Order: sequence, then structure tokens, then C-alpha cells
Amino acid sequence: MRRTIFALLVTFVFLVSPILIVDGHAKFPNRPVTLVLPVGAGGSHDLHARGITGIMSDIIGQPMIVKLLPGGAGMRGHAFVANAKPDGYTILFTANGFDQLVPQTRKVPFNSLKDFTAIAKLNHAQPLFVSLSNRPWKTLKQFVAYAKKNPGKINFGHSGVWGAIHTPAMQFVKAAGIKVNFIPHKGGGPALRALLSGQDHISMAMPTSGRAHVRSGKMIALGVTGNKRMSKDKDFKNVPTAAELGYKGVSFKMERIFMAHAKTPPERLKVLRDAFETILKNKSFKKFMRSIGEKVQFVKGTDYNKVRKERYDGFTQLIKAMTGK
Amino acid sequence: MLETFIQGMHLLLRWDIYFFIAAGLCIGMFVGAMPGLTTILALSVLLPVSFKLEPVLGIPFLVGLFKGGIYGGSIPAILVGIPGTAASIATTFEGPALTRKGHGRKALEMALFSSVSGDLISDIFTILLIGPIAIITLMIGPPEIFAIIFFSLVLIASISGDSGLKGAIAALIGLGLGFIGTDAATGSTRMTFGFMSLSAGIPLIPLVIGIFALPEILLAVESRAPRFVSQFIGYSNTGEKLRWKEFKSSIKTILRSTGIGTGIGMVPGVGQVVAAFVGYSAAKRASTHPETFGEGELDGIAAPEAANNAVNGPTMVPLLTLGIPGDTATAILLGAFVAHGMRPGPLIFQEQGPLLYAILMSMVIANILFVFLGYVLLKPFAIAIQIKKSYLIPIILALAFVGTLSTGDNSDLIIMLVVGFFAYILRKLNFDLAPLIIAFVLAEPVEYTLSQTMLYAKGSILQYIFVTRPISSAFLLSALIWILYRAMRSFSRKRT
Repeated sequence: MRRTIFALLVTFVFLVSPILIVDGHAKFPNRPVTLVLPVGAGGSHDLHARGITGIMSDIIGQPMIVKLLPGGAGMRGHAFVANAKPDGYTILFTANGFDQLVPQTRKVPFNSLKDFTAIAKLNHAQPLFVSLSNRPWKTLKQFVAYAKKNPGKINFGHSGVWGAIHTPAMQFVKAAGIKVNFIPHKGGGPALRALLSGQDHISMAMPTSGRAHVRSGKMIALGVTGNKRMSKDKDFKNVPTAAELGYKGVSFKMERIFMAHAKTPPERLKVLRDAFETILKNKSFKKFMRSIGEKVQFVKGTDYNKVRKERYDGFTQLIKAMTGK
Repeated sequence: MLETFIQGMHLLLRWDIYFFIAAGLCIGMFVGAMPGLTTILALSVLLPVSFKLEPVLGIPFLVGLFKGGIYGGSIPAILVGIPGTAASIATTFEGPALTRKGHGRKALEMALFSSVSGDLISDIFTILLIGPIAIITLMIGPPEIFAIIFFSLVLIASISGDSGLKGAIAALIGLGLGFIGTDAATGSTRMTFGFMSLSAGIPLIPLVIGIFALPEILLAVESRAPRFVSQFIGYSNTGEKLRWKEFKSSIKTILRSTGIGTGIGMVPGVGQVVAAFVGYSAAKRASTHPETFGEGELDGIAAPEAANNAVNGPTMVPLLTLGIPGDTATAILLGAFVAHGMRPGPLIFQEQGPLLYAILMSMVIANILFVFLGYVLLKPFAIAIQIKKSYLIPIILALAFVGTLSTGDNSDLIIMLVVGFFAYILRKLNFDLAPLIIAFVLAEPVEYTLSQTMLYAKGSILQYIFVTRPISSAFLLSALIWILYRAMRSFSRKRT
């Protein structure tokens, strides 16, 4: 008798379990979550993602899988998430430029502001203006004076049109009223290489990638974007901001953000947002971020959503000013 | 320096390093042997594993994975003519022909020994000359890259002269396919016909599978090939071992290819695929019997295999001395370094000297281990393929589909099928598809470096190149002289 009851019970569980899985009210997530990156392997986003997804799996109880969809200036990955089922199982790890700027410069099959909502902002990087230390200028002011005397002769290397170097560089060129020769490179690495080889006169670098070269004395940091100095950074705390030097509007920072489809059910969105708050307290997460030399400057998704529209409009102005469109 | 080096060697005195290198080599070889699964994919999936290990274990593990992967790609290239990775495309020129002749085993062993030799020599060269190489890599800017690619193209074209007009058409198709996607200089999308999935360009892996794997099976099905259905390509009848005499006669080729590969490794953004093609072309040019190339020539296996592996040493240099990765694989390695708190760059030799030398030496060790490991592993790999070709090819094809899906975008599968269909038609029309691939691979860097060069030149391009860029002008001039020389010779031959 007992065995029969047991058998019945087992059968029942087997019959019901698929229903439980299909049931939308079952605990979210009950299968792996895909984290889409609109960039290729090996960059800083990829590195962050590899460390975070490993820890995140313990928090949400399901694996989080990295999916790299590079190309089309990030828009391929964004379009993929915009077209995916808005069930919270496909989320995006991207940068503010791809979210608020690039979609305005080309035809894309989604509306950034309407189709996406923020889960969390993890951190940001302030690009630094850098030059070789043997150039005739030692400060940003001197550079501007030199550039004014030699219009169009300065090679300004960047990592790609409307990327994390080109955008603040455009803001700077506009604010300083100078004319430079912009040279595109395939990413931040090649741009840094062109600067170090003396091919480009000036460029910008993120603190993590520029640090060793500034420490070795080969490169100098002339200024930093944003209106706050990097006061906690022992190598760059004395680097003046562009705003201090009188170049207004050179504000671009590269922000690493997690986004979801705007139509994701609110209770699932909450699970995801909570997970990213929980991870902040995780020991392995803290250790990982320390070892890769990145800070955590967390902003809640709901708070980040509030600034997106304003930023978006700011970029609209910049694009209009620089391209006349 | 010697002292740091010796300290580094001390770090290598533990058995688990060898275990992790060997594990990496085996996994890499397996992944490389699966068409569609790329070493890059394996590297990025297994990167977190290396986070959890000590740096002196984790990074050599990834190094082993990478090295094993490049060799693994040549196994299916030799046995069934389907390259496992893009780096082994040039190996398909001779590999299947040798297998058909019953020399499959010889070819596999030649590939192993030439891969290892090329890699080993280039690694040692890199460790000894890391400083000078770093200076040379910095001297190579866009105008130089453009000139070097142009020179390589002339060399590659000069050996495929007999494919004539059809070869040129195939190259033009490849060039056209290469231009699809995002114009890197302006950032605008082009020729995508509104398909978002094309905005990143046609991905290389689905293209390679489409071109090599699909026509192979379609042609076989169409001919209802009785030979195909019953043919075994097992290890038992892949023939005898490689003889020392045969290896010896290819040493010259291996050394030449190693030189070519090492040189190309110093050029950012060109890489293994091109090195393999150039190595093969140079071997055919230098051969006393170029007419036997294409019909199963062991020299034609040694050449691309040594060249594509020799790229690995110098590509580590910009990564280590500048902290700038030259390609995706080294970018992932950079991630591994960074996650272990090591920031490659100008100061790394002062800050982490012993550890760095230990890691560099682990590259050498990986090669030595691989000679034995590869030799033993060839057998199970070949046995796994020891089934009827009529079963084997569909299995490989299924794996290729899975591999293509592993990139994450389902549209890659559609790209693969469309490409495969057209490649089948071209093959039916007796087109040689090698020029298509090489033109496709080089389309983007050629266009990109040319447009960068024009931006640097600010309007006066000839003056810029020939006055201020001596390396670039040397390569361009030699390419032009070569073209003229060949043209005059063929002209005078026609008249007599």
C-alpha cells in the first residue's frame, strides 16, 4: 500500500512539474538568464561580465550566461534585446553611449528611451586627455594654444565614431574652439598604441588602461572629463577637470549599465534590481572588482532612469552642433 | 634580467602547472577540432575558471588552451577538408589530398611537428628579443599595415595565377562580402539591406563553415557517391607514420614559415589566417616542383601550420609591454592577467618580473608537452573519425550547426546556409574559393588602414607615404616591382 501511494505521489509530481515550470507565477528566474553584451570578447565589459555572472548565479539561483553580440556600434546587441521576449530572461550589459547617443546617429529598430529600462548602473570611467610627455605642451591650456596656432595639424586619435573617446573629444573641441584631425581606430587599445608610437598627438584613455604609461613617465594626463576630479585615485588625483580649465560641457563619462526590456513584468524587474543590490555586499564580488582595479559607483535602476532622458537630449544637442543635422 | 628569469624558473618547479597546461592543450585540441567551436569561445567560457586558480596556473592553462586549439583546427582540415578554425583554412589545400592518397597520418604528424616547431622557435625568439620587438611593433602604424597586407596579397595572388579570371572573380566576391556591415571609419552601416544581424558584418566562422562544409556534403549527396558512402577514412588506413627523412626535407619550409609567421605576428591586426596563406604561398614559390602542390604535398602542410603558430609569440609582445592586446585571444589573456591583479604594461617587468617570465616560459613548456601529448592524442581523434564518411560528414555538419549557434545569434545559421548554397554553386562552376576567403579576411583591414592613412596624410598621400614612412614605401615598392616583373615576363613569354 505504502509503495502504491509513493508511486502515485511520484507520478503526480512528474505530471505536475511541467505545469509548475510553465506557470508564469513560478519563482523567477527558473532557467538561465542571458546577459547580452553589445561588445566583443576581451574588453572591460567582457571582463566585468565574466566575474559578475559567476557570482550572480549564486544570488539568483540560476546560471547567468554571457552572450557577446558585437558590431554595428553596439546596436546589434541592443536590437537583439529589444526584440527578445520581455520576460526578464534576456538582459543587457552596456554603456551609456550605446544607450543614449549612438541610437540617435543611425537607423535602429527600437526606441532607446521607450524600449529599455535600467536595472542598475555599476560604475563609470572618466576618460583622461593624454599625450606623450615629450610634446611641446604640458597642460591642456598649452595644448589648446598650440592647436590654435596649427589648425587641422593635430591628430586626435579615438576608439571609433561616437565612442567613449570621440564623444568627449567632440565636446572638448567644441568648447575649446579648435580644429583637429580626428583619426578613428578599432577600439581603445589601437588608439592608445597610435598615441604611444607618436602617430597621434593627443588622445584619451581610461584610468585603468592609461595608468601604467603615466606612471612610467612616457605619457602625461592633461585633464579629465566631468566636473569632479578623481580625488581618490592616487595617480590622477591632481589632474584638473576640463570644466576647471574653462572648457564647459566636456562631461562625458563611460558608464557601465545593466538594462532590461521596458515591458519586463515589474515583479521580475524587481528581482533583477534586488539581485544587483545584493551582489554589492558579496565578498567575492568586492574582491573581484578590487583585483581588476575597478570601483563600484552604484546607482539604482530607478534613479538612473531619471537621468537618461536628460542625457539623451544633451546628446541630441551635441550631435546637432557637430554634424549640423 | 637573468636573476628575474631564474626566479621565474623557480616558480615552474611544481607539477600542477604541467597538469593545467596539459588540460588546456587537450581541451583546446578538442574544441579546435570541432568546426564552428572556436578557441575564442573556449577561452572566454573558461576564463572564469582561471580566475579561481593562481596566476601561475590559470594563465598557462589558457595559453595551453589557445595553442591546442590552433592545432586542433587542422585535424578535420586534413582528414575531411573542413577547417576546424579559420587559421587552418590553408591546411585544406593539401590535407584532404594527402588523406585520399592514404597519407592522412603523415599529414597529421607533419602538422603537429611543424606547428610545434614554429611556435617554439617564435616563443623563444620573443622571450629573447622582447624589447626590440616592442619597438618594432610601435613603428608599425596604419600605412605600414596597409603596405604589408598589399605585399602579402601580391604574394598570395602570384601562386594562384592559374585560377585566372575565376580566381579574380572569387576574390572580388570575397571583398564585397567583407565590405558588408559597419564602415569602421565613419561608423555608418552599409550594404546590410536593413538586416540588423548584418550590421556587424558577415561573421567569419559561419562563412568558413558555409564555404567548406556545406558544398562538401551537397556535392557528395548529389553524385550519390558510392565511394563516399562506403569510404572509410579511419586511422588504420590513413597510412604510415611520418618518416624523419620527410620531416627533414621540410625543415627549410618550416623555418621560412616561422620567419613569416613571426614577422606577421608583429603586425597588429593581421593574424594567423593571413600568415598561413602567406606561408603556403611562399613555400609553393620556393619549391622546385610547385606543380605537385595541391595534389598532396607534405611541404604544403608544414608551411601554413608552422606559419600560423609562429604568429603567437610576437602577438604577446604588445600585450605584455604596452598592455594593448593585438587580437581577441590576447585580449582575453589580458583579462586573465588583470583579474589576477597584474596589469601588463611598461612597468610589469619591474613589478611582476619573475611571474611574467614563468608565464612566458610556460608557453615554451606547452609546446614541448604538446609534442608528446599531441602525438598520443592524434590516435583517439583519428579513431573518432574512423567511421564511414557517409556518417561522419553529417555528424560534422551537425556539429558545425551547433558550433555556429554557439556564437549566440541564430541569424548566423541563416548566413551559413545562404553562404553554403552559393558556395556550392560556385564549386559546381569550378571556382577556387580560397581567394574568396583571403579577400574577405583582408577586406576590412585593407580598407580601414587605407582610410586611416589618408586621414594622416591630410590630402597628400604619396608624399606622406614615400617621404615619411620608409617601411611602408619599401613594402609597396617591392610589391609594385614584383607585379611589373611578372607582367613583363608573362608578356615576353606570350610573344615568343
